[in-house]
Amino acid sequence: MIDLRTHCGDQRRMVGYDELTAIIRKDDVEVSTGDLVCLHTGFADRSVAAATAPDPEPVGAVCTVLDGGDRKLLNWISESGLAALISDNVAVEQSSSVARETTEPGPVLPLHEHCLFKIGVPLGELWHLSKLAAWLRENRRSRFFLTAPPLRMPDAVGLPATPVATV
Amino acid sequence: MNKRWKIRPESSNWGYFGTDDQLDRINLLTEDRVLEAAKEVRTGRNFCLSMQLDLPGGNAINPSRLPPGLKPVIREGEIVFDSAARHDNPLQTDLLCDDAMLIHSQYSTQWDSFAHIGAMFDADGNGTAEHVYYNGFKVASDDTGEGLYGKVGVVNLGIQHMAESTSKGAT
Repeated sequence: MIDLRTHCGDQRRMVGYDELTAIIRKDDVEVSTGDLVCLHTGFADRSVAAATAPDPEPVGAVCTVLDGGDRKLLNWISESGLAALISDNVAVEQSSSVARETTEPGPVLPLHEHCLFKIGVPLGELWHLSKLAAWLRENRRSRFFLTAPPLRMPDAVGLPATPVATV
Repeated sequence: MNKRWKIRPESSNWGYFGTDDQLDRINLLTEDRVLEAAKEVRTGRNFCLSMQLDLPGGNAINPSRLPPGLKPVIREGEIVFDSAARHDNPLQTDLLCDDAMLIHSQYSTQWDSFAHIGAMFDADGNGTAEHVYYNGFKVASDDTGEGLYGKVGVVNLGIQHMAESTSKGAT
């Protein structure tokens, strides 16, 4: 678990390699080959709170997203050997519903292109990580056991999961 | 010679786990890796990491994705909800409920398969970019140009491969 929310707060902004690796060092998080790496931003937590409020309203653009345009960040994903990248926000990186200026041919979702198209890292999105992140912080841990298969529906391109973290 | 691609994208690892591989890094979740990860289980406490599947709520985030909906199941012309299992035999005391669902698969807590995002890329080296996905796979059939059920149902890289691998690990 990499807990971005504790360090970055709930403002929508992009986090790149330098900031991510500084947080990893500061919290003494180890990322090694085969890890399923979770990024806690707080977005799902805010969504649940907004949807269950007395006057529900869209949560809007809150909490951090990774900077998919940061080459050093994409290289880190490759070299870390992580097996999957999971977040509690919509698209790990800035989602495609936000207009991106493009001046040359290339992907709108560069982190998706890198992970799904180039290096075969599945992406988990909109997981609810806040309670686990808080427990881990309280217990000075960052690692846990994760069981999270998607539904076994053939030929679908994405599917819900009910992931279970065991500590 | 590789049957799917001559050129692979810069900084990709196509072929590393074999030319027919559809799991890539999920291959790293070996039995040894699961045993190693199991050492992280110290209290037995579980956390559910899914939101309710009808959240984040509404469709402001992505107008084309709607919350899941429960649908009735019809049995012999009647909706199966809090119904007697057999109308013709009052001696049978069973009551039945059943339901169906329509799920936009990426509305809530979910995994993206490698079929979610591909690219226009000249993998066959003929000078023209084509539709291609991880490890040089196509998601549409070469014969029909469509998916398994019209414009839905990928012929490769479906999410079932991940389910069948029963992903386990730790972070």
